[in-house]
Amino acid sequence: MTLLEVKGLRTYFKTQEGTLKAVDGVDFEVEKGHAMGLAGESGCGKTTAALSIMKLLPANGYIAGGKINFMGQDMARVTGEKLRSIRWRDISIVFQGAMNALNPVKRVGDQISEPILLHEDVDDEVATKRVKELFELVGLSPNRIRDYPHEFSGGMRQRVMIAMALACKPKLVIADEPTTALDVMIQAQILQLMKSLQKELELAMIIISHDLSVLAETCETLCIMYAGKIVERADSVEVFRNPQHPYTKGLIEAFPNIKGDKTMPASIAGNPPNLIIAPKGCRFAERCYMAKEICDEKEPPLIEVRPNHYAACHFVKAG
Amino acid sequence: MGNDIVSVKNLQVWFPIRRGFVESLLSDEQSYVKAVDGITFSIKQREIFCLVGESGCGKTTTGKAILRLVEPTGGDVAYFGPGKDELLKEVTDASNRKKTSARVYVADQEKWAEFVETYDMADIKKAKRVMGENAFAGILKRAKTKPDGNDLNMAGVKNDADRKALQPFVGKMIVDTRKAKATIGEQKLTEILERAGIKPQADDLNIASIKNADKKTLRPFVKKEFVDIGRAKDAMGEKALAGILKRAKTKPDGNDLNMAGVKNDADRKALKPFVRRVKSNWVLMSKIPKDRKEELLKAGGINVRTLSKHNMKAMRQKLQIIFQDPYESLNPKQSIYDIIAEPLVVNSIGANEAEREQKVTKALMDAGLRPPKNFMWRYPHEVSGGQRQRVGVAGALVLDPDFLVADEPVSMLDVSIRSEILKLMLDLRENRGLSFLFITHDLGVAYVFSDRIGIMYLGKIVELGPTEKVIKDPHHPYTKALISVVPTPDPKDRTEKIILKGERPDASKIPSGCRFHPRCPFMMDICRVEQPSPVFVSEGHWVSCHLHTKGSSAEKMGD
Ligand SMILES: Nc1ncnc2c1ncn2[C@@H]1O[C@H](COP(=O)(O)OP(=O)(O)OP(=O)(O)O)[C@@H](O)[C@H]1O
Ligand SMILES: Nc1ncnc2c1ncn2[C@@H]1O[C@H](COP(=O)(O)OP(=O)(O)O)[C@@H](O)[C@H]1O
Ligand code: SF4
Ligand code: SF4
Ligand SMILES: [Mg+2]
Ligand SMILES: [Mg+2]
Repeated sequence: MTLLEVKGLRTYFKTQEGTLKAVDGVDFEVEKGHAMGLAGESGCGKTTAALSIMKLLPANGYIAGGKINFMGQDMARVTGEKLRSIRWRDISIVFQGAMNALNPVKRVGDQISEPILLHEDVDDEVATKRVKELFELVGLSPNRIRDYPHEFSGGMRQRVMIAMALACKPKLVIADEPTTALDVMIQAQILQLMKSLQKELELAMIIISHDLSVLAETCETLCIMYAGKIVERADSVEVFRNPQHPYTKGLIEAFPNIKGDKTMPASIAGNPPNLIIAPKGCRFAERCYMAKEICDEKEPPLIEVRPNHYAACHFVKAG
Repeated sequence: MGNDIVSVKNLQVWFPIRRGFVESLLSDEQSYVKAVDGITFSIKQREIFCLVGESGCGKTTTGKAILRLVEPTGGDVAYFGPGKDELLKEVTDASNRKKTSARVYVADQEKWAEFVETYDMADIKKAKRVMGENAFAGILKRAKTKPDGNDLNMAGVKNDADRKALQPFVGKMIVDTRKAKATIGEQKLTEILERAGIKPQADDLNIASIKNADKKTLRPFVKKEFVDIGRAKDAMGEKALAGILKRAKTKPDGNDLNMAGVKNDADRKALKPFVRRVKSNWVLMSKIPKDRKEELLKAGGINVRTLSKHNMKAMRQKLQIIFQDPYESLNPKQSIYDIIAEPLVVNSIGANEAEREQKVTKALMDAGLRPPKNFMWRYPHEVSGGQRQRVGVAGALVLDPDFLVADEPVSMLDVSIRSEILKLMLDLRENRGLSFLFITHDLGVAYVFSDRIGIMYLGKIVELGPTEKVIKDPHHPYTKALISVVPTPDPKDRTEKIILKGERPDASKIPSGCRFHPRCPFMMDICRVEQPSPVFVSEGHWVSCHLHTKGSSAEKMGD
């Protein structure tokens, strides 16, 4: 069952230099109980896409077009009471870097019970009981709900953030760079936790990361974003077995492979384009080793290369 | 690959845990965060040596200690790189003038055998086996609890009731005046001293005769205190005291007992069969005959740890560091030019602004920020993350160093540009002959980039060897776990993950025996009590784990 369907999403920011098209025509779907990975370089619009779904954009940002269909509601259009009833209760988010944004002078447990008390008609006692269950669920000792954030390590704080996102039993959780600031062993623990929660609670997840290998291990499907657009989309195994877009290929090659030979991985030279004056043709053309004349002229459409495998490049063939 | 450029031996960095006033009254014992706790490795010229480990295991502290950005607590750091000869000559000349003898580090102990300083170590395991646990425990007890004749070091007395019983007999209280000065201020300290009419001995001060309020002020800086055993015995009776002494038994370090602590003649004699004389790597200049002085100065290394402030300034130019976080380490209010020129100004290098600009330009070029003019006058927030990291590299290059500590230089960067920065460093080695201590928690990066790897856990190196051997043939359970959790993109390459339980370990509470034992899937009884020593695996490859100790039951079982 499709839980979330995003179609032609465009999210822009008003800036002094002009309109910045952070997300510029993005399509994807998330199935119930499935995890979708959103990968791409810093600044390509991953966080903006997530905030659009949650309708939590900063003041200068706005949804300029497209549909965000969540269980029959177009999130791009809902407002007021309706929006409040969906946000946090049906969809929630673990913000990028949020584990460092916990209120330092407030007990951790109280910070989690807050959204419960706000969104549900329950008393303190029920909320506290729920917080204890949530602690248990994310692998923290329920005895520690009265601790302060500084008494927790980075990995434990990230568990708290996940518990907070799960507080109102949502159907979809968006996790923005959930392991980026953590070291490898803690990263493995958090990913294992997310995977087991997904199974146990039949959660749908959107996991955002610039680290493709992290996503490959945790997500059923993958979207590769570049400069505000999705350039490739397929299930994870297919993306790695059979990458089509030159950018995807470049990203995969940029990973050191500890199981392979000891060779320096390739890098993708250059920087992403300015999103205020986006290039007319393919946005990747400036950095693409395959670019031909047509790439500067015409924007490549996202076409289905194989069943459920999409790529946006002039030189991939529809299968 | 050639000779060593930097050699680190038994390096220790302990940070005293700061305590509140009340806490310091309740317990007299100073505890430490043992961030680096006796590590040994050397880095060859033009080599990239990589330290890998979880957050908090002591990687950054090791890097900083080599450069003396933090002061080591123990051990040696020796430098053999370019410019060493001049510096060594300066150091020996200076010590000649002061009529002291300079100490010179020699890598080849055999060659300088007749001159190196020595000390005695007793093999604890052997001693125990031969003379029996009890007899040996007695020696330890005598050695560790009575180091100063009639005085008992209170640090060894852990039992609270015992501490309380002994409190009335505490005589000397030695305060670390440097620390006191840093915290309460020089003026206040001087006032206290004047009131008491005493003078500190070197950096230490006995505060036994200081009164009340002043004593309280200085209490937090007490580092050692001793009990007058004679008085204690008279007052509390011999039996009570004997009980205390027994309980106070402290643990020796690793499997060796330093004989310097064993003062009792009978005990020394009893241990004699198990003692081996250990050679240090240090030679006193004054012991060297005239005709070999030249040779020693050529072969010897500089003792970075004992360099004076003045000489250290010259040394720093050869040893540089690229800091962990390019976002935090660059001052946002300074232009890139100012950031890179700062070390030149601080070290008074370059006769004028034009000369400095030339050096900055070259550093920017070498760091791949080309053309330099386009970058020099921008501010850190006006360049991309990758370029910001290159600014960090340029800042380290401007003094023309020979050895670079690169602390997680690519961890904050997008995967797509990581290799660019790594390749930049490879180019620097190629073109400038640089050597690197590379610090990372990402084994994938360590694998493709380094020549040798040291795996660090809680302040110790647990496995060390050529990169390919450590990654493809890991021996330590911790190394195996670390390798297993590196995410692998290709599903066909996936193997089972060994996810260690628990948060990262705490350097202020180091477990007994093998410090990895609480998280080790292969833990045996011996692991809880005995610290494993390094075991040879193959050429240049060492591991510290009882599973691989020769003749261990585990090995017999056929691991
Ligand atoms: N100035 C200091 N005072 C007290 N403790 C310190 C100090 N600096 C570091 N430590 C402690 O020493 C230990 C090692 O720290 P270090 O910074 O070397 O870790 P690291 O291996 O570089 O970790 P990371 O991967 O997080 O950078 C930690 O327990 C840390 O809290
Ligand atoms: N509040 C804002 N105002 C203006 N531009 C913004 C704002 N937030 C993000 N952007 C820009 O939008 C683009 C996409 O940003 P973001 O979604 O944060 O990327 P990612 O999460 O993929 O790193 C970037 O060019 C970024 O600079
Ligand atoms: S369309 Fe052209 S520039 Fe774009 S990815 Fe394909 S080949 Fe490269
Ligand atoms: S010595 Fe024992 S506890 Fe330590 S790593 Fe080896 S098996 Fe594990
Ligand atoms: Mg983001
Ligand atoms: Mg560090």
